[in-house]
Amino acid sequence: MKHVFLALLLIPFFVSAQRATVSGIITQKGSGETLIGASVYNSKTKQGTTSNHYGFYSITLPRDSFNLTFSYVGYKSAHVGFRLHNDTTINLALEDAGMLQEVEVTASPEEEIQHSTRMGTIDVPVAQIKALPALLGEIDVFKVLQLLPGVQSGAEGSSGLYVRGGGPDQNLILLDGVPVYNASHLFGFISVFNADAINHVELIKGGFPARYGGRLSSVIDITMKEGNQEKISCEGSIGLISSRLTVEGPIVKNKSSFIVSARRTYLDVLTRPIIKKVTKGEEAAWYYFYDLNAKVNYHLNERNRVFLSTYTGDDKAFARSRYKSENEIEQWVGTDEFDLKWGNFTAAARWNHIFTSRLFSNVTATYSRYRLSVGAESREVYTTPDTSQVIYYFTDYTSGIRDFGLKVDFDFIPAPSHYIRFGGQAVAHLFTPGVLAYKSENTGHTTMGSPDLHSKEFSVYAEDDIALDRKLKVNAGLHASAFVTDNNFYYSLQPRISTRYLLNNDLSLKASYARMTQYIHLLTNVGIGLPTDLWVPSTDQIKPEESFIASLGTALNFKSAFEISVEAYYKSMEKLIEYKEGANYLNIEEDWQTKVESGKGESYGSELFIQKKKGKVSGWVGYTLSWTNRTFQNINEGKTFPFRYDRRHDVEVALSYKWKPNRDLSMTWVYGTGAAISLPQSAYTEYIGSPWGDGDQSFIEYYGGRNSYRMRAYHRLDIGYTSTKKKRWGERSWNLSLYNAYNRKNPFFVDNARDEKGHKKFIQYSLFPLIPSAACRFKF
Amino acid sequence: MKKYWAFGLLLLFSCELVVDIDVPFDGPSLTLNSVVNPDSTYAARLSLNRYILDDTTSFFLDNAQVSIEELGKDPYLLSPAGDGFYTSDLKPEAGKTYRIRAFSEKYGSIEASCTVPFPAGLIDHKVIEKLFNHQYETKIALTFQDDADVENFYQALVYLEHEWFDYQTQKVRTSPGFVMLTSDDPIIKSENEGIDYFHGVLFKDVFFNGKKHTANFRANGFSLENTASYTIALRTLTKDYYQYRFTVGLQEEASGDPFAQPVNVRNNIENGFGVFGAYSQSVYHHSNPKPVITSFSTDSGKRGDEVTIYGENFFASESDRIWITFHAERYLQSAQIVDRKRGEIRVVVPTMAVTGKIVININGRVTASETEFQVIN
Repeated sequence: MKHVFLALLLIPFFVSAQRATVSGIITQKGSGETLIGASVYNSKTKQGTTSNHYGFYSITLPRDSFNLTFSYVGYKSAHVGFRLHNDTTINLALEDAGMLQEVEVTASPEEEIQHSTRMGTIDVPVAQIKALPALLGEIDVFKVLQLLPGVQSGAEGSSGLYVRGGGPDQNLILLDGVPVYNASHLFGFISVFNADAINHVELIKGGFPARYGGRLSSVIDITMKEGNQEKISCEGSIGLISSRLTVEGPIVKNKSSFIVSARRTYLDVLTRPIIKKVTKGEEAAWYYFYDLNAKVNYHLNERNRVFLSTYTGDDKAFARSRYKSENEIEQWVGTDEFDLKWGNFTAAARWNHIFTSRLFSNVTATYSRYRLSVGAESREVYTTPDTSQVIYYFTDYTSGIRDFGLKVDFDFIPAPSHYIRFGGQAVAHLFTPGVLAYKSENTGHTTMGSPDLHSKEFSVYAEDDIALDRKLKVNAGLHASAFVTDNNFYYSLQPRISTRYLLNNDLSLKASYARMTQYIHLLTNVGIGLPTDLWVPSTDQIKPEESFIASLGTALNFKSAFEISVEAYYKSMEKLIEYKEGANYLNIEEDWQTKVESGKGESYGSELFIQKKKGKVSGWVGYTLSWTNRTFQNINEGKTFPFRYDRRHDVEVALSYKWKPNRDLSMTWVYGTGAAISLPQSAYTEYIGSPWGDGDQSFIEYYGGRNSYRMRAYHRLDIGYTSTKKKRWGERSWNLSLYNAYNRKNPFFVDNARDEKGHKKFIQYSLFPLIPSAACRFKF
Repeated sequence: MKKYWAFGLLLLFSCELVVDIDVPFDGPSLTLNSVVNPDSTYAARLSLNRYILDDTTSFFLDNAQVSIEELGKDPYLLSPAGDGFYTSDLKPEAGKTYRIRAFSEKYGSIEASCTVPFPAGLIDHKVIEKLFNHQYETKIALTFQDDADVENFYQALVYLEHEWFDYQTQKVRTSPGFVMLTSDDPIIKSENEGIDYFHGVLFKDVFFNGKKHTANFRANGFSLENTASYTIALRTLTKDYYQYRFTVGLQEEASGDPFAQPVNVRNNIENGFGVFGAYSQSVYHHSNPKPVITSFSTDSGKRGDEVTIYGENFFASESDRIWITFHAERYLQSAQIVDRKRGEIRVVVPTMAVTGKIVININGRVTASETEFQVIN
């Protein structure tokens, strides 16, 4: 806490008797949903601020007449003007302009891209996420984030995120401030976040503010909706893979509200009875996943508000077969069972307290757990008239991570030229890095694997967004963290700075530098977010991962319609971990620490991003030129090799065209240099050792340099169309999507095999051809 | 892992395209394969590796020098035996360390070493075999004592000998065979992903180090009792050879898997490719008694007549599997047995009988009569 007090002492107090503060909460009219990042601008002093994650804003002004403009993208602006005498609270609700195209929607100049000190940060409006075409009609937040420059998707169809050359484990995925450890369903094809329950999504790729820490490459900050304060409403959709239903409404009108949102796949419900019938009950197999998001909030009074939010989701797969054979005197009866389940559970309890009109606080208690279990059981009973013998095996592999955390954050806005944030966090982690329980009729019960590890992680931070003069603004901060496992103690001081210099009112230069430390690691075999991926802490052998990222860029606001940014970055990552060649999570007899290689990586490049947030045509165009590589002492003979998702060129176009209030046409087009792959160079004879001699030869393939070859370029066009109709009972919309509209054979995997003429060739396999899909959404 | 992919790739629609990728080849280099054991004389095979898209079969090398030395002793030169093989009449001993070297003027020299492990103490074995719906369900249980002082790498395998009558040469011949073993034990299963059946089953002593252990296997579809002879072997392998087998399996498993990072096979040959390994084995051998035909009740007869065959080893138990043919290459059925006693079997001359030797197969052991039986039309 020392740092916090230090930071407090350093705050220059500009608050004088001649000034007073206007503060309050900005919400959405009709639902009371918090508006995050809405801007408040005083045209007289040309100063402004934005609302924080809880809709809270505070602006200190001269005791004079003033004229405040409240605005938010896609909403009608509101103007409030009067003579200010004392500190005043103005809680304001802005009206959604969605159906009011003729009204000119203005945004205040303050929060425009060129004014902000932030770099590498992108907000994607949830409405835009929902408007874009979706594979199999499944709206997926992560698949939209993959369409941003600097973010790679990994394998086709997967929902993994590789941000500026970092792995999927280097993303801090926060749901209402709680880290989510495995954000994938269906073996990585679908992310766990249900768009109907989400209010706001923000991606930070660089220039990290001091308030975030613990991961190297990105922060994905997702805020759940709070629930409609005014009336009960329902929203849902019926799709090919899953169906969703969201109910929200007031508990006590304008005082407290709730939201419950659920999603489930239902293929298993249809196939289960069929499999049972066809196999006469001998075979059973199913797979499903579900999610449940729930949140309640309560306004105790003007100054206090409490929230409880939770997320739970599981994937389950199960297979069983029974067999029986018998003759006159003997009988063998057996059962084989296999089950796999994984899932997250998160919960957060938070308390917003407004100390004064300039000091806002938030206290959050968090719980997060991720658990995987793979079980197999086989039992066979052999019976004769005299004897009965049982052969029995049972294994249960479990791994997981569990966190308890407490977080305190303060927003202190003493004057329009300062925005100070400070706070701290303590987390108790429990790692279960792979335990195998084994039982058989002759060994009895044995448990093997790495022991549970208890770790504590602490961090404190302070940052100030300082407007030094009209042109120069600096966000300077420090994030200090510490990590304790057994008798090992690690700490790090991570300076963060980002600045902007206004060249003119529409154009600015920006620069930023951030150091990051990551104390927990993910051991992964394939890097597509499989449930078998294992979270492990830093220990005396495995050191924390470290990185720094420096970026330089420019931001232009073109005719108040286009936000254009160009950023060049360099990122260096140290002490990354990876499995040794051939090591596998299943080799449980070895401690995970001995199966790991440590190395480093770097990524550098440049990104162009042009975004248009409003108007009939909205969306963005992005281009990335980048290089990413890795160096591990014992992998690839210590030579530097390209990262699997190193992409020289990457282009993304995401546009939506709303030519009528109820018609929406959208398209996305992506282009990327082919992924780096390993291919065998040569083959040599295998030792067979059969009594026939080595007659028919088998060959072993030898792989040379890792990832030293490239697949063909990847490009794809998706088209979506949404038509909304007002019905007596509410609103219904049809969403039609075409995935891979021109049926490009995109490379998924390359293997050496024989072509039609029988010659040995490299053959590319593709995954998804043109796939049309439809989903029906409703709202009332 | 296979099961996950089956679930995960439900959505997979595959589509193929030939692509040109420029992969350089910096070979060829020497490849040496030699796995030695105290029961057999030295043998090694030398070849060259080839470019991955090269279609020719491997190139064996006969004009090189291959030598083996026991550590601290003089090297012993193996003699070329053609087809890349190099052999000698010496055998290694358990517990000793050996080094192998190969040298070729054109391709340089390679070497490797290994220590021959001691055999496992096989205490007991059990074979349970039943016929259900014309399909054999066979179980094998091996009980052995694990050595607590060392890390042990095991391989269990069953090989057999088939006997059959060759109509062309009019002689009984034998041919070797392997039995595909599997295990319900998940620990053993995970060690054997992608491994070929004639390499037996691999397992380690992690769960039973220093203990007496029983390992259970299945050999479904095979009847051991109805085979001329079978041998159950429990081998202890060198770590390098075990890892070679294991990674060959992993490479096989990862090949064609779009998500897996390709696996390079464990290679303990310096400057080259291949494996130099060793094993020791303890075996249980079973052989069925060979029947002998001494005479027939009559030297000729009509189809449908009864004839009694006299001989030895004709009766082991009621459940003997007997197959009798009258020079019947094309016969799918055994001649019908009317009666059998110790030393004699009475059969009906089948409708498709042809003049020739009478062949009897009892529990996989085959014998043919010295003289021919005349079939009278």
